[in-house]
Amino acid sequence: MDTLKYTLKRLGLMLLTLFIIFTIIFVLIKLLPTSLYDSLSAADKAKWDALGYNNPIIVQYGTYLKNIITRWDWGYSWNIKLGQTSTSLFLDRMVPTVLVNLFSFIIAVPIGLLLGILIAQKKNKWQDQVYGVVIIFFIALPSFVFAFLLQYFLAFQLGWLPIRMEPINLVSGWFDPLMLLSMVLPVLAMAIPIIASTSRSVRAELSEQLGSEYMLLARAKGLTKRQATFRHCFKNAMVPILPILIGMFILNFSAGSIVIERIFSIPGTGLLYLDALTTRDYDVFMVVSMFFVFASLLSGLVSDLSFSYLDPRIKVR
Amino acid sequence: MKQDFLNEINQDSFEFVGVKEKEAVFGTKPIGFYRDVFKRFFKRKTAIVALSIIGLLLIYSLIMPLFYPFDATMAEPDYRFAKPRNFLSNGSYSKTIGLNEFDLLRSIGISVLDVDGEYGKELITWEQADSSDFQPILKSEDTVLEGFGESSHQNGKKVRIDSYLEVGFVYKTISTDEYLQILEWEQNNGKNVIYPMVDRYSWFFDDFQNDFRQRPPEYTQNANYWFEISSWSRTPVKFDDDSLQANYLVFNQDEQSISDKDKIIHNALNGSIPNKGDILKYQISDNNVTVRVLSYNYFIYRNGTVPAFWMGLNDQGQDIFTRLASGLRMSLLLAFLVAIISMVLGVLVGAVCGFYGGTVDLIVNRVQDVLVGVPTIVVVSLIYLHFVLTGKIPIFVGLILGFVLFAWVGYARLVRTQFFRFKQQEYVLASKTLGAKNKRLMFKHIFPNTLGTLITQFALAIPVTILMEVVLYFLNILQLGNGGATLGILINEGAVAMSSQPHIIFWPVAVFALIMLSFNMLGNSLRDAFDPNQRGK
Repeated sequence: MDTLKYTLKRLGLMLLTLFIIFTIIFVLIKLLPTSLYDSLSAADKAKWDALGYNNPIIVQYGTYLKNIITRWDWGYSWNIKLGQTSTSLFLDRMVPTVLVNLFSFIIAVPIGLLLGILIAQKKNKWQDQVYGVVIIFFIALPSFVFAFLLQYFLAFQLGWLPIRMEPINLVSGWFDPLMLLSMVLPVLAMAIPIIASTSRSVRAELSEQLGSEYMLLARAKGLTKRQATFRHCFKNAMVPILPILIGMFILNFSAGSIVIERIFSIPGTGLLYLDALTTRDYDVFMVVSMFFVFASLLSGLVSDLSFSYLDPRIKVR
Repeated sequence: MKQDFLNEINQDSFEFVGVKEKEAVFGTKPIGFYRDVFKRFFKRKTAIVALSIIGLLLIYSLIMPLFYPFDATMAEPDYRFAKPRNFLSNGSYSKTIGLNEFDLLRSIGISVLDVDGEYGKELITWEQADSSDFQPILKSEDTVLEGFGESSHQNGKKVRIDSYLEVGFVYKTISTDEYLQILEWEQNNGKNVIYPMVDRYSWFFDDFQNDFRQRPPEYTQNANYWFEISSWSRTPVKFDDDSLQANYLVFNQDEQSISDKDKIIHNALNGSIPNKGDILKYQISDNNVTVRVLSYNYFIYRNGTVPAFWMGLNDQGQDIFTRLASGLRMSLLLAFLVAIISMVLGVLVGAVCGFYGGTVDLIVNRVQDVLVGVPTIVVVSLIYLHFVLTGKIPIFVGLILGFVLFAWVGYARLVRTQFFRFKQQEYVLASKTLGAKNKRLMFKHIFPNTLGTLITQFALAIPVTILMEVVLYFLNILQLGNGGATLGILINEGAVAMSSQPHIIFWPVAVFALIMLSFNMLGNSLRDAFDPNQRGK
């Protein structure tokens, strides 16, 4: 019951924050110079006026909010795809982003976990020392450096993989072999930092747990090292790691991948955000920004809450 | 009586109890916390590595440009995309070129030797040309690749080209004064800058069409075509002995047809009006003259040194070495300013919140929640659109504003927790009882406890700011202002031509990676050093 109450309270706070940010971004956008308006044709100008884009900001704010609440209407794209609702445009662009992120997580998390477990077993041996040096590079360097390296060597120099993502209209679908092949590089570039950070935290947590006294007990009562590690230590070690992973998973769907999307021309939400910004497509910009905000708030919330669900020792107030 | 008895007891029959268990006196001096931190910090290998990398980067960005012959304002469009020439690489690159281009580049060597041996009077063989100092083709494979190029009906060769000599000759329009200065410089230094002009606008006989045609535009623009061509595809006319037929501009005007203005120029440049049949080194265009200069020597004439750029040139012929140094300076300055301003702001806000608590704390907390919730990228782009594009503030200030808006939250939260922890401790209460004011309690007694974490946060915040700046420029959210180069601008520049000119992006990314590495290593070392649990270890 306490947990439910706490969850509801956190949810309420999140919605409040979301609402405030919504208002701030809306006002900031509406205060921008409307250079887009001047570039429209006469018919579009009439549509623009009819939809009330020239009213005072406070009136527009009311209308916009009312449309969202009553009809889930977030406005229209004026530039990227004239006339399409910004929400449907956004949903279209979600597919590649979700796919690439999903693949990179599916690849990275098991590898990261396994690597962390292996290194934790070899604590203070030469493997651990080599790992300690190498991991500094992978943690400190942002994913786009790896993206550049991968793209230059694997795509430009060796020509093994496509340089950019295949445009969707040239292949049969998102799971076309050509499409999947062209996704390899971005997926790799995104997976490397995840592997690095996961394995590092698994190593740190697990090696701490391996030295604890319940482990001694488990071994004393006759469990093999493997049994003791996986049944006892691993579960405990995952308690602080899993929430971070969940948070990262949610967050990566938004702002984390814009750079990768730009490098590999993935037509995802990140590129949509950039397009909306550079072409001053304000309604689309609003939707994407709010999604980013929502994702970052949600990732914080979910990772906080999952702590208490995963670990019965942690009681929420 | 009793006293006497006591005096009579012999002292030697007594001995102290527990002398052996007497407390040992410390042989070493006590060590303060910061001294210990200092010692532990410098014991760590990563800390030393990080500090040396940062030191080297600072030396590079602040001191090295002073010892480098070129500056950041230099732009040499002729040498655009020049490869790095340093102690590791000689500035050459491999490329597959068409046979026409192969002949064109290879003939630069002949042309230079030809003029040194007085305009075609000596026969220069290709072998001699290949040994010339100005031969751009360093190595070529014998095999001819068939079906090369976009149209794929061209034959090509794989060669290794010197990117500095590749430029060869260029046409320049200069004033008559400069012409005379170059001539004087040529005499003093024994180097040739100005070479005979090419009769580039005359018609040529096209073997293919069996008729006279106008020369292709490439021929008239590229000063390396000093030889006669036989077809529109610019195949050189070769004599039987494989030597090239020169197409120099020959003076053939009659004395009467020369205008007075031209006469003056001829007299000034030549000492007299040239005879009919003389090969000209200049062509008069209005009050200036067009000349055909050997780019390599012309560069030496203007800059006093041979063209050799340690990191190569970018697409506009700007020197990457100096631009990267100034970009690094700019990025570090930005990051440090952001870190300092947000630290001061965060400490003040966090101290007040943590010390007083209550309503202020609650409100500030909500504001922080909102700020943390908004992606940096959204706010910086809105600030950019609102203030920078409209010209209200320069981009540098806009970036500082955008970053500080978020960065102070981290410091404030950190200081707040530390204040919460320490404000109820006995030593603070004792000081309060002795009459210390709040200000004294806050900054004399509690604040020093936060120093360690603050310094760590400071070191870790610098790579974060630089990364953000690089990302914003790379995504084209920020466009190049007039604020000079930053790491982000340089990386963005390089990314455009990454496939063909990897050296442009290589150096900025390498420096960026070093910054990320070193500051993260420094921050982690500082964190461990300041960790009270590790004391004495």
